[in-house]
Amino acid sequence: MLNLLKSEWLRFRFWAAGFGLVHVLALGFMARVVDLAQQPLLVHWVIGGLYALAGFLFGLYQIGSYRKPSQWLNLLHRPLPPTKIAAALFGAAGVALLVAVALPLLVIALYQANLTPRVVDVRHWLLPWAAWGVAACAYLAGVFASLRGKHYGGESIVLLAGIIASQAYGFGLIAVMCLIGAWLAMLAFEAFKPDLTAPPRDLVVTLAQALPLSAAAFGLMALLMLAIEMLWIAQGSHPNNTPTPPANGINEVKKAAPRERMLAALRNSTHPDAPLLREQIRMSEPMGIEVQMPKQPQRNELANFRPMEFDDSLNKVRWVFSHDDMRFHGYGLETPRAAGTFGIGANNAAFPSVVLPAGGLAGKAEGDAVLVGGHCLYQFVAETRHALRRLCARRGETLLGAGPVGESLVALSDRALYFFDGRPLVEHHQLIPPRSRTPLPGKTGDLLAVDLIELVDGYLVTLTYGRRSHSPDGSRALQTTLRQMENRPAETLAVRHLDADYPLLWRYRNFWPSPALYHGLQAARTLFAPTLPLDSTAPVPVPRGIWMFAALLSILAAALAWHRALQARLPATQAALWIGLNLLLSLPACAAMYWRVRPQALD
Amino acid sequence: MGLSRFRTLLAVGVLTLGVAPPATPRPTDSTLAAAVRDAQARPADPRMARAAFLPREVINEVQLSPDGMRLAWLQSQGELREVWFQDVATGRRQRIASRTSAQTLVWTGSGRWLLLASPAALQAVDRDGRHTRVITALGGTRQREVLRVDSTRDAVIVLDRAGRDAHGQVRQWRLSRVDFQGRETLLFTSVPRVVNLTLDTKGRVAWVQRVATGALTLERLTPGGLHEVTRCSALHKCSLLATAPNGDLWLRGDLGQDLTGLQRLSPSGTVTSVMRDPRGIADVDRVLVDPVTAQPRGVSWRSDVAFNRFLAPDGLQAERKLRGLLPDATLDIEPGHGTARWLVRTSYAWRPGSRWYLYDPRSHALQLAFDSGAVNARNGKPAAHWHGHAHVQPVTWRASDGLRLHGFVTLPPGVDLARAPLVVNVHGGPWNHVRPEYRGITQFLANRGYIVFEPNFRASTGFGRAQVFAAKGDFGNGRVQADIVEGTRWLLAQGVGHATRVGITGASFGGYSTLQGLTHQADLFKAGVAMVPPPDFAWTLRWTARNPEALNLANVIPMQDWLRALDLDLARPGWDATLRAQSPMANVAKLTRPLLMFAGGQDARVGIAGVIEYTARARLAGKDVTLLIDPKAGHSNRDPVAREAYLLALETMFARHLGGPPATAPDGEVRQFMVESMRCAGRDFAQWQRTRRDAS
Repeated sequence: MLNLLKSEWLRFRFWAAGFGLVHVLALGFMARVVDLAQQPLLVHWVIGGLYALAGFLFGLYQIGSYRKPSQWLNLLHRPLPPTKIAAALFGAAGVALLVAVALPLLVIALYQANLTPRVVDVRHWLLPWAAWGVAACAYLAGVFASLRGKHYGGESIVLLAGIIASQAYGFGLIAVMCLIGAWLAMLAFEAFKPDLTAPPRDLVVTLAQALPLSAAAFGLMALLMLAIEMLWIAQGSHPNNTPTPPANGINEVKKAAPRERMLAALRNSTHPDAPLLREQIRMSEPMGIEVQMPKQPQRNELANFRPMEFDDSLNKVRWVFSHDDMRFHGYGLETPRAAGTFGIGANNAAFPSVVLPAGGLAGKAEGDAVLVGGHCLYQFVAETRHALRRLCARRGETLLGAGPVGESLVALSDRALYFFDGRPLVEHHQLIPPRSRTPLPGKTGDLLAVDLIELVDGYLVTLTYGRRSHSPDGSRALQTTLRQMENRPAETLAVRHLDADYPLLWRYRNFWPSPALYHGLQAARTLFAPTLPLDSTAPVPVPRGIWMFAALLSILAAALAWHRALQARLPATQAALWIGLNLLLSLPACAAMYWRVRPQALD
Repeated sequence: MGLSRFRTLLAVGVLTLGVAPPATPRPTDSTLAAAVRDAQARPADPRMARAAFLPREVINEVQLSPDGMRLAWLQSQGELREVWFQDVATGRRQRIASRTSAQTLVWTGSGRWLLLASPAALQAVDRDGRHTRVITALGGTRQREVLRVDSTRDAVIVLDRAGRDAHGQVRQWRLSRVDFQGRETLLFTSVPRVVNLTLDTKGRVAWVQRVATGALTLERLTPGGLHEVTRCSALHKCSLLATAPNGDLWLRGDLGQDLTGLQRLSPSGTVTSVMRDPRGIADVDRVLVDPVTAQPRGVSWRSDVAFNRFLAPDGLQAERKLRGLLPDATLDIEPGHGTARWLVRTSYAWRPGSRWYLYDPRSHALQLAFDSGAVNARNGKPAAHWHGHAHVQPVTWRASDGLRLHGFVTLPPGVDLARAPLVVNVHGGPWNHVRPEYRGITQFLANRGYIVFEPNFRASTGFGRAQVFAAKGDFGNGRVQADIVEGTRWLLAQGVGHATRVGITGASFGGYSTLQGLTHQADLFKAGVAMVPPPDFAWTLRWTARNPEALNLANVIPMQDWLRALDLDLARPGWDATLRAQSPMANVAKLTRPLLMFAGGQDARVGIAGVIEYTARARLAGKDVTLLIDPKAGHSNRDPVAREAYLLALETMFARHLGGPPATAPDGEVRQFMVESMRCAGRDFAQWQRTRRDAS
């Protein structure tokens, strides 16, 4: 086996070395221009995508070169079991990918760590292995697709897509990659047998193939729904693009100007102050607050949602956040030399959570920057070269953004709105206590808009929920109007429930084809991933009618599976497995079965 | 130095020996009657377009070199500013810079350099305009500012903030001398904030003004260090001018007295009043100093009557001569060094623009240098030249509690003043005052046939501390408002204005007073137009104190401290109970007269939320209220279109409710502004609201 591995490696060594050389040159050129460790997520995706493509093509090519019957027989006609032959080929490919993908990244990381003042954290040292993992997974997917032909390739690609869909980060994402790699390896080893057309007999293997294939079918159904939606939009009667959105619906509110949105929220209110407040809204220019942190950076995540750096124009220093010591490290913008570190306060304390530069702030001097992370907003003071806490939500909350509201300041956390006076922001650098706190009645993931106007001694706030009211995981769409007066708890003036613009069947279009797959895929996406406040929603219970419809479809799928199993004369265990799977996974499993258990099997 | 000291002593002696200064006009009832007769006898002014009252001056910052031989000025060219020189002898003009961010021009004592100060840098241009050099950067993290030009050498004294502590407070203030080669010499450092300083004749720091808790200290710098001589507390004024040759400090202040005057402080702490208003009415507005030695040569007053007085007989004589040459004009004098030429700016309260003259105090020859080159603020074209004749007459009356108050009445010529409509124009602040100078709104109203009354009620500055403190925080429907109302009734009693045709207008506090007048004195005021009005003065103060604007309003003494000194203690529980109870906001139901308000969407001094809530309450109560909001405007609106719209609103409101001439139709831009700004349309402005609805 070792000899086969060696000969296979020798076969591809120049290709691997060549690829590795081109790779290191390309990365080296990029590293001269930019800090590769601080590239945004999109760049990571593009580069990772290239590694996946290279791995997939490599898998296709390597196995394709043995795919002719004579070559295949020649390959397997050795005194070795097929699994060992496969292990030798896969092992050689793994070494080649190591040279072509991981080694260049390692070389660049070494260069950045030793020859530049840039920040290289433990998470960056994991990147070569993560890149190798992506390429290896894609390679195995290519191998499987090559071995089983075009009818069987789909499930491997679906598994590969699981890496992108996963919300895990850092070591969690590597664990997800390992699981996917193991799954793909199992498929590849199982497919690596003399009769490439023989269907799997092992129930576990059948299940291992059927599940991703069902997921692929589920994805195709979602795409089909999307295509239908496009046609609906083109036809012109889709609630999203009718000239006038349906009355009292979420689209009407979403498309309305902030003033109209606030007025609508109070339209039917019987509160005695509602007429006065409506007049005030009509004359005011409502302000909104934006989420400045649409994605929560996590400690030791492999990629950056956006570069974790900012330029200090006063000291001519670029400050880069290090996940290792949770401080910023600087290097000169004009002369690339290390320029020290900074943390919180004069004693340079570590930040309690990962912080990102975000937006502006009144009272910022030249070189100063605003940093947001955890429950606090910090101001980097260029003059003293340290960061100071300026605004904080309650401990345990996550600050999502802050912005001016008139002469004051409002901050949004995942659980409340905070109002701060503007004067202390400019006057000193101390922590500013909030003047008032308005608890949010819903989850941040459902929050569509925050509109507010200033009142004498307070604020009028309209919260519109229903960002995901078109899908099963969102809350019901509604508007809540709150009045936050100074030194008083917030008062709810009105709650306006909004109509659903779509039929229930449409809202749950990704649910009723397979409730089990819907929940299963959701769980798979969040495997090893923390619950992020921005993704947190309060879904309404699925209506009983949708459940019944889904159950009917499951029974129908099971009946079709039974029929197909009869036609295919499947062994009883295989038939039972497919029927059970159809009962559980409904239509996607049925589609997978009709795709996999092909008419040829009837012969 | 000896001669200078002799001059100063002589000047002090002139006053102390009782040599009477020239007679100064004192407003009386008889002068008002004479002014009324005069105005009625003159022909009426032609009716001018609204834009004629919104001129923009092209030339400003005119500076004459200490030797009187070179003029420098800033000239606006569209959005750009240019620096110009003129050789006085030949009249040759030269453009030195075609694009500058400089806002201030100052000649050095030697006259060799002209300093150009912008927020970001201090530059110097040599007197021939050939060489320019940057002396130092200004602002930045050190917040460097120039405190003084060192007349003894080519250098400036700058103040830096040196570092901040962990709480963002300044650790230290550093005073340095920067010469024109850019070399810096540290003079001294200070933990308390340094506000100002003076130098002695050798260029050494002599006196320093620093911030203490709620006060300013005046300290003498000796080889042993700084020694506090006195402190200016309780809002006493003490602006440093110069070090006298004998080491005393010249200052413009009111230490130990009611009126602000020219004072002298000895190192032992003795304060000598050198010059103050001989009539005992007004604060000194400005001290006229020698451009080289910075020694005072005279003072000027601008509270009720504009006049100047010089310390030395030659100055007195020259000033008298000037008044003979330029009768009726307000003279802003910049004396030259020694016998060098003076720069004299003339202006008139009833005419826009100003002129600059060069005056030779030896020959008494007067030479016109140029006029301000006013242009139409709307289109930048030369403004229409016209000379209005609505003279601004200073008046005085006694409030019901006996306090003597002052103000101005502007009388339109050629109309029966006993039957003419009267508009009360209340100034903002309230810690401010109306001056005898040109105001476009006043002259516009007079051009439309309205008598305009502009009272300097208690709390107004410019008339001594007693008048400022007499308000005692009574800014509701109380003593301050009573001053305005009593002044109006007194004027009506003098046969000026018709009692059934009285309107009220004003900006900021003036707008507040307008709302108060229409709410509580509806029998007197028949209509009102308010600009950026706070409908609840107490809330506005509290709101401003929490916002960054509070720092702009309190450069040295914190806003809450000076408010406390004025009987408005924001920290005292219940301090605002009366103000809130008497506020227009709390008394919307009593509003019975038509009201129009203008507000700025970005106003940092008067919260727009208050104006909106007041309007909403009034509208729901069925009141005749109109509100226009310019979303881009702050507390003052410099947009000429908005300003013309304000004149249109004044004209429309007072035409309908006081019987003035109807307004002419606005042009497209003003019309569009009105439509887009209209948030609530009263009965007189309903057509604009309809147009807005149609547009939307």
